Parts: sequence; C-alpha cells; structure tokens
Amino acid sequence: MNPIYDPYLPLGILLLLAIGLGLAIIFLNGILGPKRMSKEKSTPFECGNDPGTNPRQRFDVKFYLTALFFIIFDVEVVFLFPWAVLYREQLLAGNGWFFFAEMVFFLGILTVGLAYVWKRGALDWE
Amino acid sequence: MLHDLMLLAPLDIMIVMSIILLLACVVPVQGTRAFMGRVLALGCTLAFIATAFMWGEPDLQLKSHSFAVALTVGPATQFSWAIILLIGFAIALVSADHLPAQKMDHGEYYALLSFSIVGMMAMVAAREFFTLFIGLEIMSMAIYVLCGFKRSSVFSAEAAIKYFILGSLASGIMLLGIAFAYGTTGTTGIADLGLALRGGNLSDAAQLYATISLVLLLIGFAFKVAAVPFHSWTPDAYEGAPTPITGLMATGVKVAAVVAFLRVFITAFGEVQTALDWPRVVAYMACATIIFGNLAAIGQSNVKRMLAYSSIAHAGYILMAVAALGVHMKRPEATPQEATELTGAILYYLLVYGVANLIAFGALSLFGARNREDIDNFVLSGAARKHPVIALVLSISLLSLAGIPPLAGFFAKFSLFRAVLVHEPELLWLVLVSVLGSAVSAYYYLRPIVRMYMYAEYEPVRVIRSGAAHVALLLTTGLLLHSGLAPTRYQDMSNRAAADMSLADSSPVQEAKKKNDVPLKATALESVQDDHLSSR
Repeated sequence: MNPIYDPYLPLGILLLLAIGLGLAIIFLNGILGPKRMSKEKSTPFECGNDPGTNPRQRFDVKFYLTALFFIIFDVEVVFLFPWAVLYREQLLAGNGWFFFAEMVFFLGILTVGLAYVWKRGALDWE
Repeated sequence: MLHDLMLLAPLDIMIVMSIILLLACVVPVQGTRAFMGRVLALGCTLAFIATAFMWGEPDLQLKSHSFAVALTVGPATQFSWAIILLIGFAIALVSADHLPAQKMDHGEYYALLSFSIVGMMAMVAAREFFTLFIGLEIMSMAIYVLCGFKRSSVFSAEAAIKYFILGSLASGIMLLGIAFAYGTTGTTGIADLGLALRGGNLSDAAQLYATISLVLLLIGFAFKVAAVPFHSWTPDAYEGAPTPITGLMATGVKVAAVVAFLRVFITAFGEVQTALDWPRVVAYMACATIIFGNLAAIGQSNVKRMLAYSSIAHAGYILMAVAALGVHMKRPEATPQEATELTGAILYYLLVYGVANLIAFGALSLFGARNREDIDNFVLSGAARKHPVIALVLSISLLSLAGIPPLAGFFAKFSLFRAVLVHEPELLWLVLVSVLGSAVSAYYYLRPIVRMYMYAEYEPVRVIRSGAAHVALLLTTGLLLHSGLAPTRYQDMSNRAAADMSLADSSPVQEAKKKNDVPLKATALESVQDDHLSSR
C-alpha cells in the first residue's frame, strides 16, 4: 500500500488549504462580526493620510522623512543578515575579529547618521 | 589589516573628516561653521601629504584579501588621489567666504563636499565593479544635494533635479552594464572580464553579455564625462549650481570619471576583439563632442554656462585620446610603452585641465557678492582695475584652457595631440577637428578677459573679500604656472601613473580563482541552462 503520487501533491494541498482558510476567515468575519463603522475605521490605512482624495493634494513632508528613515534602517538590517550567516564560517577560518570589526565600523557610521538625524530634530514629529 | 589601513591612509583621513564634519553640524557650539571650510582644507592637505609619502614607495600592495580584491593603491591611484585632494582643498577654501555671501552657510555643505571627495577617491582606486559603483554613488549623491544647496534659488533647484534625474538614469544604466559583466564572468572583478574575453573560449551567450555590458558601460561613463549625445544636463546643472560646486563638477567629477573609464576600458576591453568596435564609437563621439561643445560655447554670455560648454569640448579632446588608445591596444604589434605614453598624455591633460578650471571657477565664485547668482560678461566688465589679482588669475586660467603657449594648457594639448598622431596616424581627421576646435575656443576664452581689461565698469564691481580663497587661488595658479614652465616633471609623474593604469597584470580575484580551480568561463545562467538540458 504505497501509492505513487507526485511529491508536489502535499504542497498543492497545503496551498489550497491556505487559500481556503484565508478566504473563510475574511468572509466569516464579515458575516459574524459586529459592525460599528466610523470614518476612520473604513479607511484602508488607519494612520497616515487619506487615500481617497485628489492626488494633487499636498501632504506633509514629515511622512516622506519617516518613510526615508524607515528604509535606511531597514536596509541596514538587510546587510546584517548575510553577515550573520557568514560569521560562523569566518570565525572558524580565524577571521573573526576582522569580520566583527567590519560590522562594528559599518554600524558605527550608521550610528553617526542616526545621531545627526536625531540632533537635527528630524525624528520629532512636531 | 592594520598595514592595509595605513596604506589607505588618505582615504581613511577623508572618511574620518566627513564624519567629524557631519557631527560638527549638530554640536551646539557657536562659531564652528566659520572654521569648517578650513578644517576640510586641512584634512585634504593631510591626506595629500600621506599620498605624497606613498608616491616614492615602489610596489605597494594591499595584503588582506577583502581590501586587495576591492582596491588598488599603485601610482595611478596616488596620482588621481593627489589631483582630487588638491581640488577638494581649493574648493573648501573658496567656499569658506562664498557661502555666507550667498546666504547658504550651512555646515552640511562641507560634510557633503568631504563625502563626495571620499566617493571620487574610492572610484579611482577601484579594482572591482561594485567598489567603483559605490564610489560613484557616494560622489554623485553628495553632489546632487550640493547642486541644489542654495534653497532660495529656483535655478539651483532646477540644476539639482536635472542632474539628479539624468545622473541616476546614467548610474542605473551603468549598474545594468555591471550586471551583464557579472553574467559573463561570474565575478565582479574588472580584470576578470578582460581575462575572460581574452581567453576566447566564451560561449555565444557570454559573448553577447560582454557586448551588452560594453555598450551600457560606455553610455554610463559618457553621461558622467558629459560627452555628446549624453551632455544635455551639463549646461543647466553647471549654471544653476553654486559656483564652487560647479568647479567641483567640472574638475573632480570629470577626473574621477575619466580615470575610472580608462581603468575599465583598458583592463577589460583593451586588448581584445569585441563585437562592437568601441574605439570607433568613441572617436565619433569625441568628434561630435568637440564640435558641439566649441560651437555652443561661442554664443554664451553667462560665463559659467560658457565654461560648461567648454568643459564638454575638453571631454571631447580626452575622448579622442581614449579612442586612439583603444585603436592602438587592439593592434597585435602594440607595445605597452606606447599605450602608456597615450595614457600618460591623458593624465597630464586631466591634471592641467583640472587645475585651470579650478582657478577659473574659484575666481568666478568671488564675483558672487551680495547674493548675486548669474555671472555674465557684464559683471566682469572693468574688473581688472579694482581687483587686479582676481582678474589676473582668471585670465591665466582661461588662457591656459585656450592653450596659449607659455602656459601648461598648451603643453597638455600639444602632448595629447602629438601622442595621438604619433601612435595612431589614421586618426588624423580627428586631430584636425580638435585643432580647429581649439582655435575656435580662443575666441570665447578671450572674451571675458577683454571684458575685464578693456571695458569700463558696467555696474560697480563687487567681489567677496576672502583671504582663504586668495590663498587657494594663488597656490593653484602657482601650480599651473609651474606645470607649464617645467612640464617634463609633471609628464614624468603622469607617465609613471599611466604605467600602472591597467589592472590586468595581477588580480587577487584571479589568484583566488586559480587556487579554487573554478572555471572562469561558466556563467551562473549558463550552468542553470546546462543543468536543464542534461536533465532532459
């Protein structure tokens, strides 16, 4: 009793299950959940600016700054990942301190950037 | 690692300098701003001295693998570093009193200036495509901001946005070229690309990638050196940017871009037959650049705009020599000595052109008193009577750019044209175009001089009083005169640098590859295709 099936079949089943579960939760929520709507709740993003207006409307430059800082420090984490993956290998090869110092230096420069941004007041919302 | 950091001392000094200047913008101590220009000039001087110490040492090599793969510190790098640091020194001193007069005295200016110098230095020292690209981006990003640094000015904003959009497009094109180079060899080493092409056992796909890479890199570098037809951003960006920054763009950016261009093309595409005959393309580009630059400069009444077009023309002369070098290296009987002579002529030309332009823009920036932005011929009228020193250094630099005999500009042009004629007589037509272009250029270079010396004041001439700028101008003028009076000395230096230009001889990447016995020809994509075919 060892039926020959495609090795990808379980994966397909998992995919169907995941889609089904996702759809079920969305619709069940709509059917069963209480509905007390307000203007804020009906917007796609509860924070931030109103998406449903004239696109030529001006919006606050602070949003732009926040997004920019988010990207900068997010990309920093992206650089940390390959470093962390390679670290063990380099440690065994005897390059541990060099490899460590490189990352400390990189983070140090980023910290200088953070210090600058902070002191300039770019992180204050008001 | 310590040994390598010592060898990279000029770069280290400038990086530390950038960080110090950035932090100095936010320390709550009054009066730091007044010193920042001088501090940056001091940093450039220290780095210059460190470079000068390295110059005498034979055969400097970086030891640790990570540094050795990415950077090279031979005479070519040192020579380019020296020019770049000289430019940084002069621009920092000229800016010191220019910024308050133009009502844009923010400390970030010097931090950005310092970062752009770091970028240039990394770019000319790069042994590998990504280091080159990162250097290019550090330089460009800082200069995009500096272009628009005068926030109250519409022209400055226009310059910044034009330079930013076209500059990032060029960077994107160049990055795609690098990606295709990686597709050919599987490494990002510049020398590896040349090695793979020379090996001759590339598959058709890899051959195609190499050609695409060549075209994209050529377009990217043409943008950066402002060669026709990729020059359109130059006049507006040069005119709108603050005058010291225009000086930086006309000298530093051009030096860094030309040196990197030479490095990549000599090393990777020099001695091989490529599907695209790139020296011919560069020759036609040079021809169009020389004609367009010189003709468009004639009609300009704004001196900054005139110098922008003239810098396009000078890029044309340099490209002419690059084309000659390319044709020459493809000959089977070519010797390295002859190629070195051509490269040396280009480097000497770069030095003289850079110094002369530096003086010209430095002197022009002094006319920006009382928040004045456009510097046209009327502003200069009659300036010689009241301000003889400024008028004199400006005249010397313009005459040198025009190539009038006792000045360095003449020897630079002469040795460039001579090298092309001696080694590539078939480019005679292009040399004739260049000579005619130079003759035309005398007209527009002489016009501001005539205005300064032979006209009455159109309006009262006001200049910025600046001791720092005078020090920078007199020092650079002294250098320009000396390089004209003793040209052989500077030519020897540039020839020594030129001999080190190619990265092909010893690549740490190749050595590592040989050790691991990885076949160089296999590309990532091809091996995937091979797997696919064999599985079927």
